[in-house]
Amino acid sequence: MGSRMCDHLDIGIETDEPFLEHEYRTGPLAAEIFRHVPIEQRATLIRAIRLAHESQMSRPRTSLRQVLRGWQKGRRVTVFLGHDADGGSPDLSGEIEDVTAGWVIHESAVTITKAPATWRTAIKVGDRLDHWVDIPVLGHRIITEIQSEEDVIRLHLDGIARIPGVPHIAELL
Amino acid sequence: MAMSYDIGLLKDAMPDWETLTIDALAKRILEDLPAEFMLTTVRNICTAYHKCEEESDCEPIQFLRADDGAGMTLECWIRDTKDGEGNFANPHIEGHLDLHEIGIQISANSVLLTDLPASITARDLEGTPVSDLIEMPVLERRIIESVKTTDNNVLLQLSRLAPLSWKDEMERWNDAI
Repeated sequence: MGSRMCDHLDIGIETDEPFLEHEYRTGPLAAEIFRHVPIEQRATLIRAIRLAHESQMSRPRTSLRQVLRGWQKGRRVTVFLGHDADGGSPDLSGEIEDVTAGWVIHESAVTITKAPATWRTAIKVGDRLDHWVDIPVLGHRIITEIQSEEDVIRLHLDGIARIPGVPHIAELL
Repeated sequence: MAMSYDIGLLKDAMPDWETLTIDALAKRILEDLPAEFMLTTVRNICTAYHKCEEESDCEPIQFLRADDGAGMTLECWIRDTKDGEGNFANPHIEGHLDLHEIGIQISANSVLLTDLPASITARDLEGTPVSDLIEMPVLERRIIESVKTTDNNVLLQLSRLAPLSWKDEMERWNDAI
């Protein structure tokens, strides 16, 4: 299969509903993951997002559906489709895991799996996240809640605005 | 480290890979697919099969399409076959190639032409290699067994190839399951 054919490759079953990009919202992490998805995978990804949205229509709106998983620069990445709490708009959220560094980042939280023991008492609500861990993709976020259990610390972060549409992916369609 | 992706919904149901069959054209299409698309393709075969299972009298479901932007599209479909008593027997994957610029559609066991050169009659074609008309690797050594013509179309039935076993033929793919 020539490379040109791969540029127009589209894997997945047909969807019944039209794709209305303006209905979607995307979290910054999901957008960051999308930014690295190569062009030849994008039609397939849009199809998966549409199928997940259709499938969500018949399920409780609280459930998440996984639409992409993979590896980017040695980090495990995952994208889920859910619905926002207010109007039920389809909402894409991302998750990035760096096993070597010992963290998993979500749209509104960070799970640190290799935190020094002293951190459990040192980290305070209201601290800036980048004071403790340098994860540029999260930007300047404030810690709003701390949970810890054995070696794992989970830091909840202040909210950040969602991006309208499905950036980097839908714009080329 | 290279980037890799696995795109699609979680697998709700999987075909019985032991009994899954695939035709020669679909095999060719999937074998030509670069390795980075295998996980995604297998995932979407599962989604298509699940949908097929959910519907009582399911039509074939397309799970892959590609377009070279220069007049050729290719597709893969999955469908459930039935045995002699009408019971569902096993899932089957079919390939389809459409050279729409020149009016030729190719399936594993047939070729549909929108036109024949005036100098050729249907009778001339029976028993001849289809490669005399269309040169494509997938049609090599295939003999035209019968010809049906309508006003605008000519259907060439080729010497029949039996469905292939996924398990035996798609060994490289079984690691992606």
